[in-house]
Amino acid sequence: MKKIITILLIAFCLQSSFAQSYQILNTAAGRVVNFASLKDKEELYGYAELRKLDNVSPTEVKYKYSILDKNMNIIVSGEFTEAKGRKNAFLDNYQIVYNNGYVLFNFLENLYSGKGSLMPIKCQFKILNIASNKITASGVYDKEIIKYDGNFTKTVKNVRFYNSIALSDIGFFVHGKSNYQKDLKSDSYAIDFEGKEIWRNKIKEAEKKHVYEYDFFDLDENTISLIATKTRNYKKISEHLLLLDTKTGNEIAFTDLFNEKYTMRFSYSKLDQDKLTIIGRYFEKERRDRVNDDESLGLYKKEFEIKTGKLVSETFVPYSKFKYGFINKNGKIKEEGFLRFQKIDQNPDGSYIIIAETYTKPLLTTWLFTELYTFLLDKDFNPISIKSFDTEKSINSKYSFSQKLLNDTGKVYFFYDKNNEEKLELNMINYNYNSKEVTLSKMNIETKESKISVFPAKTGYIAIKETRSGGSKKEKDQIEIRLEKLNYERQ
Amino acid sequence: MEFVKKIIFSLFFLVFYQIKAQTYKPIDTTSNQSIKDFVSSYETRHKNKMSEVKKEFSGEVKKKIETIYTEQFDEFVKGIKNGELYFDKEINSYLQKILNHIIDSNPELKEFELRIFFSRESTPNAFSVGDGTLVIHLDLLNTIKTEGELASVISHEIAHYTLNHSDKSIKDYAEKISSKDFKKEEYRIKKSKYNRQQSAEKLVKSLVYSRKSKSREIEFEADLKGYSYFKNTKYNQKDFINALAKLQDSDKEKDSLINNDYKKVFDTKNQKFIDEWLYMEDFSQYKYSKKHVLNWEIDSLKTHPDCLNRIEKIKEFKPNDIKTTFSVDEVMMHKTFEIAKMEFIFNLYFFKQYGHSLYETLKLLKYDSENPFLLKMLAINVEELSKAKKNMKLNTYIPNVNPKTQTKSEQCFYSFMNNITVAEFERLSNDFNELIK
Repeated sequence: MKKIITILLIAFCLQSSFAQSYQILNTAAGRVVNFASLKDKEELYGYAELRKLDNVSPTEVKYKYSILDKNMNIIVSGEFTEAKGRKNAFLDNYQIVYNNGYVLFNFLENLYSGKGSLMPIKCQFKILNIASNKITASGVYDKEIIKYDGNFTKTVKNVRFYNSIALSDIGFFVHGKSNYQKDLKSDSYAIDFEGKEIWRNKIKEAEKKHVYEYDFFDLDENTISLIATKTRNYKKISEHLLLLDTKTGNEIAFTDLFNEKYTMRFSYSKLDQDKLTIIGRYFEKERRDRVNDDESLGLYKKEFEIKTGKLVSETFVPYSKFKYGFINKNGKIKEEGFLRFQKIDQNPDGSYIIIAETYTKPLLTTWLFTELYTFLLDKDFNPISIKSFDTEKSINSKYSFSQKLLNDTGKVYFFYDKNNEEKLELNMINYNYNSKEVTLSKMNIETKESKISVFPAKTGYIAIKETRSGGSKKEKDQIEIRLEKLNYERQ
Repeated sequence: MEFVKKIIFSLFFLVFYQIKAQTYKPIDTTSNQSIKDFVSSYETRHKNKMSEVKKEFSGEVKKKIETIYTEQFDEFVKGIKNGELYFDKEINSYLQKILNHIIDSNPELKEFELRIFFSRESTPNAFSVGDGTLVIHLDLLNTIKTEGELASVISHEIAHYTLNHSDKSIKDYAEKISSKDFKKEEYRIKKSKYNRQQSAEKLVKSLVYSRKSKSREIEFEADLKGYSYFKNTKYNQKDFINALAKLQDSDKEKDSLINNDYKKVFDTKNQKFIDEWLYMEDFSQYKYSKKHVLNWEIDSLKTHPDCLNRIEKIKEFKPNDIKTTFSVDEVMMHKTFEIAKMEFIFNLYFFKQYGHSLYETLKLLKYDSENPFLLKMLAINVEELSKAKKNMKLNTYIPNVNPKTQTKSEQCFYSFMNNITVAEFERLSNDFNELIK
């Protein structure tokens, strides 16, 4: 009854009868290059698996995709060929996004530069219609979308990295950003499921010698929110909130976010009908609006009216308001270190839960993550409580993802220990919406027999991948993927 | 004749009543001495086989054949030591009697050293180990219905052995993958820059398809030879076809569970039945492809030909349909068929298929809700599933719902088990355990 990734089944079945030619068998099965969960708004639609099968020619790579339902049963599968611009370049599938029965695959074409580092050449995409199991569009992201059939040989002088987000039920919002200081301008498109542009670049351009750098925030059926940072010669001049109409890309509002007293960092935003909420940390004002990222003064919440972009409310919560004895004014917790806020959620009753980890820097370049914290605030952003949880120390942040419990009874936050040391554990913080209680449960990541990792699953569940490390020759390295229901209290 | 029938009828009910009335005790397969004796004689036969291989083959082919035989030996011995073979005197002697009857009806079989056992495997199947040992999965008796049908399967397995199918297919395979042509192609693929996967897939497919095709060929051969043995016995000749017809439908679920069946069982002293347990997830948004997704010709992967084709081949011999009550042991026949039902549930538990075992238990509890053995199986399976739920391993034993491949009844059962929380599972488990004390 084990659920092994179905696509691998045939290979496993054949291994015993084909024991002599593992290499050929592995080649025949192709190589998994991405396995991604597909979100359908707030729910999980299913999963996509992408395998690289072949280099068909110097400029073509063949892939096999499988789209799985929320229980990992295969819905459709097929193959497509992706074009490369240069013979010695290679393709990297960096993103798979679902929307309204379509799946978008984003690829980055890379080239090895002389010193072993990677040089991105261009970003490109394929769109799959799941119902017909047909590719509806192949294109390259440039200052405008370049659609193509077959080979694509044109040189694209655009080194932006394009991120795609499901856009209402009409297509995808594509936001391109460059890492090159000389060309910081962003590209923004809305494309439909045929890869055709719906609108493009309807965002503000700055006056001469100034540049607006845009960061995507959030979108819903009506609005797209972006943060526009204006710079001149790398110096931050201002910060604005830009609201666009989802369907047309037209500007709804452009609101100044600049605060004379504090420097702000944004961690959370939520569009809710006619209101946009932004939550983050605030810092003492320093030259050029730079901040010491460790030492914040507290949390703030801002609310904007979407129609006008007007600031409706603003709340600042210094750490002292939490009345937690071991926290100082800069958010440092005695013996545990500074706080890093990993996840901010609004609960169904309007209150907020903020999940944080503490860290120290034993050496200049090393980090040590120590404890887990939950901050509870009421709907008006008044602090209620802080709770801390003991965990093993780790060299990286442990936070992985969160999952809603069934019947809207609560939420679980997963912290996966990424240490290389022993005693690895999965920490699960469970917040119960009814009792308002926060509890921690733990699971061993590694035993003598196996090692587990976790990834998102359908609402109320968690996906666990368990790889056997012990047992007989046949059992070793066997993989079991399970969907386990998270325990909840029945109402 | 009427009198004999009455006696048989009474005996049948006596046996049936005994099994039903008493707490059925699963057969113990862990008797150390029987396992030791069998493994020791099996080891001798394996060693002899390896000496023959050494004499007959050389080089890479010899190495490959040796590896395959050794792997098979290790695997089979592991299963035996794990208690997967029945050494129970009663049911074994019944099986041996059927084998003896087939041998007696076919004097040419007397030159072969044959032995036969039931195994715990919970699929309706049988196989010939290749050294004269024939293994019949006890679960086969839950698919076929008569001793004649059982004898037809045994005849088929004898034919595999007398036709030396096991040795021949190992030899063919070893020779094929050691051949110059195969190695040349393997090398070419490794060195090629483009379309490696396509070439590798083609090579793997050709090898697998030819093996499976050969396998289907030898199944036909075993059918024909097996039928030639079977027709000489006292059983109804048509039983050979009847067995194949039943095997054709063996995948189809014969019974199902409805909501009321759950309500009757899962309403205990400390855990009242919860209607939410019956909630089923919606999968209507998915339009599953009808095309097989694995890009392999599924028919070409089958090791056995379609039973309907096999039936057609046997029909060419015009088997007569003379009804007969012949049995080597009428009482044991009924008893063994009854045992198979109970052992099937226990064997699923034995192989740690707690979910499947519970599902089959619930199906039988519908008709026999007080049966102590079934209540015991209910309790121990729920206990194991409760532990699994607590350790986040329930999905190891309860598959995900798959609307494309599972029956409605199966989907409902899997959803039901998933809907029970850790605390509810524990209460149910405690109550069921209390009940059987």
